[in-house]
Amino acid sequence: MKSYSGFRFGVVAALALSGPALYGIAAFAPAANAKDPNGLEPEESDTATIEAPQAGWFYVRGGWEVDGTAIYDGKSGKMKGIVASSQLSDMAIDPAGKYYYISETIWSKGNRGTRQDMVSVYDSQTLKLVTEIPIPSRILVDERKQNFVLSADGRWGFIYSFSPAQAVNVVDLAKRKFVKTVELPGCAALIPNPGVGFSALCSDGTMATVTDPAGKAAITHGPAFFAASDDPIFENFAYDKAKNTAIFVSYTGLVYTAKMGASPEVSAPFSLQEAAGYAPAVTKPLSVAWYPGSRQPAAYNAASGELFVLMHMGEYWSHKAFGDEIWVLDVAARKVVRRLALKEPVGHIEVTQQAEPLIFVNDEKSEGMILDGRTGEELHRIETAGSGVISVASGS
Amino acid sequence: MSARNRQYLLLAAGCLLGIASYASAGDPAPAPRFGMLDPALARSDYIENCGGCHGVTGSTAPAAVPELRGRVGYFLCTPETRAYLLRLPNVAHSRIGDDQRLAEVMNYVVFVLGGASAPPGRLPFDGAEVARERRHALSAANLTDERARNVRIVMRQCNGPASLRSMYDPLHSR
Repeated sequence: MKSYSGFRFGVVAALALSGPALYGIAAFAPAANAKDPNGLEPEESDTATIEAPQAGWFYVRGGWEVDGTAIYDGKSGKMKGIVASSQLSDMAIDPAGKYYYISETIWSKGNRGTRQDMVSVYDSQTLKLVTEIPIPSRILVDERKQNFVLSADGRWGFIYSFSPAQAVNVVDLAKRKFVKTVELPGCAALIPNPGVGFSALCSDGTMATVTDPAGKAAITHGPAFFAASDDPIFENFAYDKAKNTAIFVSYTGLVYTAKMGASPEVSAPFSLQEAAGYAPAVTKPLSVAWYPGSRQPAAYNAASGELFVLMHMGEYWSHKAFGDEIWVLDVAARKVVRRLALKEPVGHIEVTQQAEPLIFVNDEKSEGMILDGRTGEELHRIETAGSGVISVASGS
Repeated sequence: MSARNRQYLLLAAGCLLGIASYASAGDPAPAPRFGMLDPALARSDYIENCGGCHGVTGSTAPAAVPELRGRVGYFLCTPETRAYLLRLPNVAHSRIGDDQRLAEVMNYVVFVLGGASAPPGRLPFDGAEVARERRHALSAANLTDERARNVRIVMRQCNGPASLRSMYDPLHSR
């Protein structure tokens, strides 16, 4: 019985530690504070908290077979926590830093039962579930950033749906309510468009823009600027918040920039290979050159205006091949300013938005590497870091 | 593989199966049937470009996909409902750039998969009609509403069954 009462006092003391009555309670519970003669300390249960999203943090998905999105501090290479993201889910980060939003689909009995589509809202400091916002449907693909984008002010969430009719579900994240479904035939890959709504890339080579998505949701299409069948654009676009510009890379390495707005203006493209002093890559078979590729081939640092692209030697339609080099493109100058060789091929790349950026890359074996954004020098290597898509708190 | 090579391979496969025996070497050029000079190519184009969601035989019920089998022919009812089929974005924006080849795919859809549902006397699609309509893709419309509107026309003017309102007919689907 003695140990039982000691245990009870210990719990009280532990609970009291976080409250204002610490000293008052602790005075009646000396057992919890007493030094054990054998050097054993009673273990106290508490809930750790972490900071709000930091500029130097990376969010790395476990991968297809491993649920959860691990948060790593880029500077130390240490893990901060894990956001509960299920297999069929996409994550978006509240621009105010208060919440992590997981748009996900689960079934009541795991692999069967009632299908449930929702946005799960997690507190960014406790990583505890705050609430769930039911939605009617979403595309059953995991970890694609462009399937779940937020408005710049964090008020609206736009969730791509493919039932297989193409549509976008609009969620009011302030009221935590599903608002409406906007059908968007023939389009995919959502792009934020602040003050307007959102845009998307379409199969006719145009960009569609949905104005006032929660209201009348008017759809307009700009002129066709790419050939979806001949030289498609990677869905993994980059976005420069300050310049309100989206940056796209095509399978052959054409770089397009789009000034977002009610009628986005797309620039004439330029060749990534030409920007590195080579001939532009082409769609012709058996024509070997450096091509962009992998699952998440490009990341953008807005401070320097540099696009980091995973490149490999191959021919056209090798766009899923992992990258052997990172080409750093100065987008405004249209010049590849650095080429960073990688020790092993990687499938995803992300870069922090700091003035001295850090790069995170990972491979199929879940090996994660944090590299210096200037030199490519390996700063940290993390085993089982996650083999999925990588995000940072702000920017792309 | 070039489209032409693929065409020959498919024809060869079709001959082996006895499907396209009329196209074997030495025969005179076949008369187009249901607007298809090359039914085997039309079928393979359908499977490659449409079958993933609509199903190899035109049905993926109970998935939320309009069932084509035994139903899609009704949309040949009026010029407007015909145009609806060609203006669907995934038809109009198809990777099949050749209008005649796309017309043959759509003729396979409405006459073969659609079976007896095509109202009598309706002409097959041709390249000119596809070229005209695919320029007006329904890419800024609510397709659910557009479909419902066209189903009402089909029900009113061509005796289309009320089950067309649903994605599939629960009584007759597999």
